[in-house]
Amino acid sequence: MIDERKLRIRGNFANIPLIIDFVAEAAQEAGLSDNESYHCQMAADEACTNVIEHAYGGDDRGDIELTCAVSPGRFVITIVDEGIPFDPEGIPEPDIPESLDKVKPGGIGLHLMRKLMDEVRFEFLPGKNVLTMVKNANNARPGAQGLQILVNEERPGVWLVTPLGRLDSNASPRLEETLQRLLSEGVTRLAVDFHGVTYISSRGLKTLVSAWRAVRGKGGDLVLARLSGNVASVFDLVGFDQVFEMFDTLPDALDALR
Amino acid sequence: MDVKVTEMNRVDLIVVNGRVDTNTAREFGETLNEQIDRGRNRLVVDMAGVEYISSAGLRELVSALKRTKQDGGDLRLAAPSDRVKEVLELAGLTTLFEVFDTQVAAVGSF
Repeated sequence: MIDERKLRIRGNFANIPLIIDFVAEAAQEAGLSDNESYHCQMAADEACTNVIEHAYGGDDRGDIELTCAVSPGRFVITIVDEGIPFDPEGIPEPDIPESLDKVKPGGIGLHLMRKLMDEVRFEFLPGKNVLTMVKNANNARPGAQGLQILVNEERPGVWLVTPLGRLDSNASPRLEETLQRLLSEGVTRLAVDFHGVTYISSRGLKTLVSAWRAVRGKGGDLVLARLSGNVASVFDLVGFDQVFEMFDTLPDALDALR
Repeated sequence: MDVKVTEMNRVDLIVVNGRVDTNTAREFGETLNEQIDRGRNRLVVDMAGVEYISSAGLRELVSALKRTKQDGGDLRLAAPSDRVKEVLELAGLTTLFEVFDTQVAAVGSF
């Protein structure tokens, strides 16, 4: 399983701290050590600085799309821009300089990226440049990114599941796991609180429906609480508002499970 | 980031705190260059308070080092954190700079 989180942002130097924070958060959630995280933050800083400086030639000339993907043992940062292809071969990998004259200030950033990360690859596709940087990290694990799931027994036998974040196709299997675990422990009365869900995909909907079927088959129920905005419209659109009981408040949802 | 300059008899002490990144490196470089422009070419940069330095900051250090050496002076580093030391090493710059564990040792080295 791979978890991904994506940031699309205007390419300007003032946004670099935001980019660094984004990488730091992703690295922390992926379970990287402080040192590994620091390396990733620096590499992303150097890479995005290069994009703004060389590919775009200055502030606010285009966007940067940065993705952090985690798979077991690997943390992968992908940076996409739509500027002028920046040819890294133009900057030779410097040896440890014996003299000052040999230091080419422009090459330090790229050199650092190569040292900080285990793989650095440039691809120049029509209309866009893709930089992929990989950090091998023993502790890197998918699962924690993008979606957080809180589980709590609110009342005897009545469980509240609170997903926070995006229920997309990457994250939905995690909700599935959580619900499966509860079902296998004999839980049949469940409320899912949607106040922190910003997006739900068809995979997320399927996950909920199959859990709903399973608990209904055992004489229990699965109800939803606090749906709003786009997420609520998705339920309406596919007619699931006819399937699930939905409540505006948590106490109402929990009361319904008595 | 903030940079503070203290002029002493034989050497100028430049104390940097915070993040020396793309956004702040220019100010850092300007401070170094102002001193060199005024003929102050023996510089100690105290890095104890630097939590982060990117290549933009390293660039300023390298170009200031070049200028001081051309003038017969030097730029020496004091008290970098382990992290900053690692970055200097990865960038291959440790052989260029004289690095001291403390501010006193760096100032005393001139």
